[in-house]
Amino acid sequence: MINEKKIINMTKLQAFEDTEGKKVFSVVSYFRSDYISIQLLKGFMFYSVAAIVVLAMWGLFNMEEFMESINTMDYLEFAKDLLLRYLAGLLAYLSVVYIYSVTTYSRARKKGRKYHRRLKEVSKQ
Amino acid sequence: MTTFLEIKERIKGFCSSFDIYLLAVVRAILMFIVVNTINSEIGFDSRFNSLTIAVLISLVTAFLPVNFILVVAALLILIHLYALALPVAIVAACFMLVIFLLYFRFSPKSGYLAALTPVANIIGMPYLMPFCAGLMDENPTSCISVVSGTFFYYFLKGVKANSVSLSTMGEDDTIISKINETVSQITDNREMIVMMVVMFAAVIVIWVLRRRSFDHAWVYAIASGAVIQLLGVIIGANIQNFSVNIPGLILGVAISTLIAFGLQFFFFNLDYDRTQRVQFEDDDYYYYVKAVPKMTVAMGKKDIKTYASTDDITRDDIVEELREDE
Repeated sequence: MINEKKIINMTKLQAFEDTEGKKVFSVVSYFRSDYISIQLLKGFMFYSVAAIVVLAMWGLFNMEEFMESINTMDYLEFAKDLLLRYLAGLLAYLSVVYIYSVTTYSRARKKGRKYHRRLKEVSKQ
Repeated sequence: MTTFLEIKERIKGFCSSFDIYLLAVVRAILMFIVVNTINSEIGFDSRFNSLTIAVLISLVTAFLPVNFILVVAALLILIHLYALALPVAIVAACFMLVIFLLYFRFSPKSGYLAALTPVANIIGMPYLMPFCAGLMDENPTSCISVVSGTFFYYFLKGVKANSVSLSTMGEDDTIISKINETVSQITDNREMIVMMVVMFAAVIVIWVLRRRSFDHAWVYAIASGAVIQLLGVIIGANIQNFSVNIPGLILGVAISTLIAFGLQFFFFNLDYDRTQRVQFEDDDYYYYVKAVPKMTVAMGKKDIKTYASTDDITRDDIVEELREDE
């Protein structure tokens, strides 16, 4: 005799595994703090590369001004200003990354728990 | 109303039966529209500006994930801009790289919205995109897709308008002066800034409102989105001193609102008259639950009569049987 409920549950489990399950399992395979740390580290690297690209564009855009004031400018002040802007942007971006990773992890854990609950139901049926 | 609901159920049934093929067809059509729009607007490279290329790319992307629309569109834009002038392609590549690095890892699923927003702008329906993103997307981060798409539309519009001066190198021109020219046509574009702010605000408000649990949340979300876009563009244009085609704006917002109500009918059609509120508890929590039934209609069952058995009946058998009856 076919157990219809079991088949429904198994179909749902398989559908979950084939769709968002892959992402959920990859997230919950980490401890919460590890996952957030990795995301912050990735965020730091991506932001730094983006900052270099923006700096290069800004440099090209203001090349003439830069060349004119090359002998008179205070390099230390210029570097400080750049660093401050970079750090302010980095802080803002990493805050967004932190909120995003906390939310993603808690959502993935909820879905993972639901999946395991259904898995237990299937094994009991 | 019942007729509409029946049609909706039929469409849903049809879509669920052939979803694999339909998705491939939809992807191919979207890609074809995007490639054709890019070719018609900035088709500077004649090798890629042809219908055959558009059809070929569409056929290939039909079998790839939906976000390939964005990747292919970005590559095609770079190819055309490279054919126009190297500095323009460098600037575009830098903008694309920054957006990819900072944003697309947050909301990779809604990347296709960034490719479709310029298309919506070109056909005069930019106001539709906040409704699509706010109503259909799971995350509010899709607002960045719409904002990025709006940015690229104005960037490409500026490149198209200044294509002659950007492609010719005078005696005093250098690559750097051309890059300056390309970047300044973006930084000086006040209309673009206003549209980006309006799109961002509209997506966020629509997304926040439609997730509320009060009755008719989607209706309020759609109405708010329409009002924000209408007033936002008019007020922004007055503050930043650029002209807006008011009848075009009203018509565009009105048509987009109608389409948004169509989306509501298909994806969130609830019967608030039959709302139920229940309360119950378990060991840890007390639950206050509001259950709103979906508006559905029972499809009429088809009676199928079988006039023949599985045995082979010849024409002569039937004639003989009829004679016996007589």
